[in-house]
Amino acid sequence: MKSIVSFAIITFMTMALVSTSGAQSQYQEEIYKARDRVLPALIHIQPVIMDYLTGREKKQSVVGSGIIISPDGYAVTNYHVAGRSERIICTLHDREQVAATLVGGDPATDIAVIKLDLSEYDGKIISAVLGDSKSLQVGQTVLAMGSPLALSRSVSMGVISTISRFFPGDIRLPSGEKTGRYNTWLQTDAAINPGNSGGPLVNLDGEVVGINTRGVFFAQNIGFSIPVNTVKQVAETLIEHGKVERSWIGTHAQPLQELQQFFGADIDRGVLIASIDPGSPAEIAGLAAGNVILKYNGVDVSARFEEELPSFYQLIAASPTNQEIEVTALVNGGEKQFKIIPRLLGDLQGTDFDFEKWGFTAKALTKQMAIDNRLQDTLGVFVTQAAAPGPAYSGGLRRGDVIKKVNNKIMDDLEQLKQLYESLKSEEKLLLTIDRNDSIRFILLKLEKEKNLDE
Amino acid sequence: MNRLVCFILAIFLLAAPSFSKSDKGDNVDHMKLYKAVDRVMVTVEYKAEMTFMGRSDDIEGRVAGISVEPQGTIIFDGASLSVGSHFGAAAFGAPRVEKPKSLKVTDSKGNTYDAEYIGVDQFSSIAFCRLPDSVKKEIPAVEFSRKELELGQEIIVFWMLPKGFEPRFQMGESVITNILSKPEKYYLTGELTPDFAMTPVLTESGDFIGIITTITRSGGRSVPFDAGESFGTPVGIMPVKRFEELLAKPPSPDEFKRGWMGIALQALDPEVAAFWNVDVPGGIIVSDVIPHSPAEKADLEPGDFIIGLDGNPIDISDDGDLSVFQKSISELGAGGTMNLMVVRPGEARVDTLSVVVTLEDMPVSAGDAPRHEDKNFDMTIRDLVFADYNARNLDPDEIKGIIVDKQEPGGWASVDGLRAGDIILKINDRKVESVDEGKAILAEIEKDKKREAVFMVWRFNKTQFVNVKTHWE
Repeated sequence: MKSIVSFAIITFMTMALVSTSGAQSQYQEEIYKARDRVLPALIHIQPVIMDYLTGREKKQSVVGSGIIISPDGYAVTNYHVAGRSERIICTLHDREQVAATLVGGDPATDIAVIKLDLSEYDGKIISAVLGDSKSLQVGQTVLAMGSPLALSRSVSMGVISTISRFFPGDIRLPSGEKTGRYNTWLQTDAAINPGNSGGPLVNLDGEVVGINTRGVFFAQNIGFSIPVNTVKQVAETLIEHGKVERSWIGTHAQPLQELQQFFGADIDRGVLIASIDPGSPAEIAGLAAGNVILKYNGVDVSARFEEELPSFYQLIAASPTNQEIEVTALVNGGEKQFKIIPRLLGDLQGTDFDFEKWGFTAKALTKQMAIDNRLQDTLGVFVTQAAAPGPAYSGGLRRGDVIKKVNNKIMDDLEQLKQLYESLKSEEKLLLTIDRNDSIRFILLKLEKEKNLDE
Repeated sequence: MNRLVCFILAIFLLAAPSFSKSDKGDNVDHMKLYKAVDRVMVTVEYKAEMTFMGRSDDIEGRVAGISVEPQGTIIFDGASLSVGSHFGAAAFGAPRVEKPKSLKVTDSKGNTYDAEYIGVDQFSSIAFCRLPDSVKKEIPAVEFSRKELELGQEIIVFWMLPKGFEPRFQMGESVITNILSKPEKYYLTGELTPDFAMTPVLTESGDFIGIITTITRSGGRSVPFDAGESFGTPVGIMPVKRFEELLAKPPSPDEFKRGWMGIALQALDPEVAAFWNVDVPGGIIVSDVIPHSPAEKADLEPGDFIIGLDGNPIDISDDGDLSVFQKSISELGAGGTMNLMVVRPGEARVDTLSVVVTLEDMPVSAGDAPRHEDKNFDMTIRDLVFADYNARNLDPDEIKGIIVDKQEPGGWASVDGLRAGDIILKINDRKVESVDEGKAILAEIEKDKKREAVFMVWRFNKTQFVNVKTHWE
């Protein structure tokens, strides 16, 4: 009797095992299929980027990942991987290397497109299928592919942890640009490490659903991907125009949730304006912090929760520039019409230049930089860093100073300063007039005399 | 035999230094010197509160002090207490020590008295306190001598022993190793450690010729010894002459109003002046003129060079020496006038002007600003001070509000997202420009038993709204 009972139990267990292993092998097959559809399109990217943060122009080799999206060799990666690259080397699935050129980058979404140079490549280019990030579900199995810590062609697996994570506050790229305002993020527990950046997040149908972009230091398996729907939109624009232009009205919104009653708004209508940039189109139009925008250019808007903010920002970004659009807002409990003329957002950061002999790097001032740094205007040249040791550093020049004059000559922009730099090479002493936190300072550069070896 | 020689030699060698010492100093009565110092020396134990990034912690310490004229006045090492008292550092976020909660002065006989805090001089970090009238005669005041010292002259120095040691001070011999002329006259002597701070220095004949303090440069910032920033701050002997000026104007806001001009400044390098063909040994560049300040009223402009003061040229050519000029403004006091020789470098020509500035009171510092602790929201609010505007580069005419000075971690304000350092512009859509106004609005909220309040704040150069809940039990 005893032995029969034992047998029955063992059988049950075995059966259970059999049935599990059947499901598992099917699941495993799906993973293999997804892998095989995407892995051939995965690339390992080694761009050489220019770094100006130390006060000198320095070449820097970085490693990231990317995914080929068209048979003619367009590939998507992160802006922070390849967006500022001088040259790019890519390793394809068959371990062959090809060069690539930068097509365009968009720091606001951290996406860049590169084009592989296939003239000397004999293999077959396979492009990945871009899926629909809207169809994703929390708990859905996903694979992350890329080069974590430069270990190329690595695959990790996990699930979608959250479909629409939003980071309030400013996230900045290493190069200084604000990013993440126009999209929410997919959060996954598939391992994402440095080097995974730019690589695909893939569903079990073998479709790319996101571009892996950020991890969290000291965290376990918390990684963030840009949803592929954002990627598709941005990549198309980059391929067509080389850059993404956005419109700007100068408003910063915050979720209405806890403040809805206070501002007398309806539960599912309206976007609360938290702050308005000085001199912006919104300020000119008379909008103010505390107004609740109900309708923007004919579209009803709402942001009760912070995840809803990106679509509001996208709507603004997509509105026509230099023509009046209508905005309806709740002001002190009553609806009011405003006419706003959106302007072009422009570049988040200006172009860099190394004033090597003077010992500092600087960049052109853009409108957004001026707003960020609370400058009155965009006149002058923004100091990225003074190299230590060096003449500028010794003279007291520091990061964030704005050069207004050199030897009492007004310098309106980087081009003017570059011209002067070229023409002033033999000067021994230079006087920079700078603006630091709205104060004037004079910086004396004592330059070494150029030695003439013939003398 | 060889061994014996060695032994004798060793004895001789060991004895040698003491021979040479007694040769030189045999006429010095060390016991008399010690007693003269011991009777005027005290130890001061303080308890205070230090605020940093919106959090407060208690600090305490024991430092040396000296009884000075007028009788009952005690000066002591205020390096730890002067944190944040300087106008440049007193904005939100910088560490700041509040006025001490308690000061206990112990004399040579072991008697301990409660003392009343007067203040701390921001340039020298010398703190002042006062004994009650009933006991002020118990401790005699030191009598200083204005004798000048020479390089190489022998001196007697003292330093404080840790608590529990009796007697409290130890003495040693040293020599003047150098005499500084910049940033101001100071005597240097060997290696001095913080234990020496605020101890007197005597000549071998018993004259009190100075006290040991840190020598501050770079805008007069003085920070405690243990703060990383002050690493390497030289310690020297402040001559009596300079010290007497300080005693004449103790840092008490009640008794003396520190002077303020209202400019941001940079030292004028003669080579910079030369770009306008101005030939001067140095000067002050007016970097910024604070709105409504004495400097603005006197029509000083950013970019002006101050090259003369009361008929004398200014030879400051290095930013590290600016404290000399700042100090003269501070010590001249509110109401004092400064006759400035100003060069205004223009596009086409350089003008020379004579400018008279009438100094006003030093703006109130964060530590002295009116404040209010609100238990319902678990936070302390205070008035915005000049230093807050200055540190954040804000225009006082544009941004009016109060600042969240402190916050109870886990308290209502903190949990709901109000942060220490936020500038509150409005509460429930009502403008709030002073702590009194803020207090009144918060009192109404309490009275009406409202469960939440909406704060409009200025944070990271943007406005935003914060809904703070509170409870009414």
